[in-house]
Amino acid sequence: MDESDWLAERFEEHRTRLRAVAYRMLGSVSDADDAVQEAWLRLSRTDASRVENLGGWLTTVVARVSLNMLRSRDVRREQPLVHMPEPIVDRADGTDPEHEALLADSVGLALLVVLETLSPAERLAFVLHDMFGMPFDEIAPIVDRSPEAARQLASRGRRRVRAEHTDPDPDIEAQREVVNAFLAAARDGDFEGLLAVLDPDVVLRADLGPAAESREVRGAEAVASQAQLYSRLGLLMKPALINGAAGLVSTKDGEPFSVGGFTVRDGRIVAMDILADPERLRRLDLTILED
Amino acid sequence: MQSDVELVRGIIEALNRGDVDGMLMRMHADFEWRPLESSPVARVYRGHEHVRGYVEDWLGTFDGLRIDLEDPEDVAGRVVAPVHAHGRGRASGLALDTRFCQLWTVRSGVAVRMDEYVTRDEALDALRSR
Repeated sequence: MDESDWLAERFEEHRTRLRAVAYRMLGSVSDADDAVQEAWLRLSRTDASRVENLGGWLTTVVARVSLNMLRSRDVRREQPLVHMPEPIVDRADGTDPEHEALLADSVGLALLVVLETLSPAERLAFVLHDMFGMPFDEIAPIVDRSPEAARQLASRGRRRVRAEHTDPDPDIEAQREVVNAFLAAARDGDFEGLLAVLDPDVVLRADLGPAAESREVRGAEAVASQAQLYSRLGLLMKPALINGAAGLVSTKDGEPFSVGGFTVRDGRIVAMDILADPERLRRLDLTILED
Repeated sequence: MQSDVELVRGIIEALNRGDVDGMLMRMHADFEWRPLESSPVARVYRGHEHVRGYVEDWLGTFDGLRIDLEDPEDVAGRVVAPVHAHGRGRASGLALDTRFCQLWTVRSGVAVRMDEYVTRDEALDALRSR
């Protein structure tokens, strides 16, 4: 191995972490790859011979790029009620190793949905501190605030995340059983059965794309009613892992109709996050689910 | 006959036009592009295919990418070319504004190698030590 290969290998060691940072910041795999690519090229023009903590320094560069992408996205995009991040879809029986690396430390769809509601600076401070352990005095210059202000940004983000109960039960089989029970009850029109698997404060968030209004429905009865409506659409449901948790991919007449992630806590569904934007669904690679 | 400095100008002008073929036609098939060695992500791009990939990554990632040559000169058979690179991240909108120095090796009218250094003095030191 010559020196240049060795150096490139050093970056590759960090690339997985950098993609993970960028995905949590941007909620999109392709945007995360763009951020890492831009960071890589900037770094190839940077003298880093005096950098002591290469990992921290690389993270800072990617965070800066991601922060600016978030800010320019906020200016361009009219914020809908719900904007579903790009889900990472795997077969129900296993996760692609590359996806596993990206999802390490569990980043469920529900968490990403909440992160979408934070301001760019709150999101950056929360992600870097709470998820990657970066100290506030290193975060402060990235957001152009004092360390104390950076701490407050992360704290606001943390409060929002905790309020939404985004942590699922760790047992994927137990999650799957609850989702299957939900599906069976919806298919049979069993309203009581639906209520039995829904947390009283369950939230259903659906991103239907720019052509339709996104929606957020709260409460077990309201969500059960929605589930009964959808069960009449004649959708073909396929179990899948959505961001490492139990979920479903539905199709109608052979075309992807929705990707749904479930957050199951204490044996009940606390959140259902559904992407049903036809254009964005077309861009997802769902071939992994084919038999 | 075209001087080595003129050849380098031709390569940089092609880059600024986004004309990768125009760059490669002035480079040997085994051309080596050696970005800043002290960068944490330094690696060597060898041959037209890898150089094309690297340059296209730059052109695809930065809008208005431009490299301005600042008084390139022939020194001991090499071209020492301080440059100012600027553009804007296509996705991030962040400005790119950086100065460094390229050291070009030209043989028989085609470029065979280019090394990048932080400063002109570093490039000259490297030249002296070869």
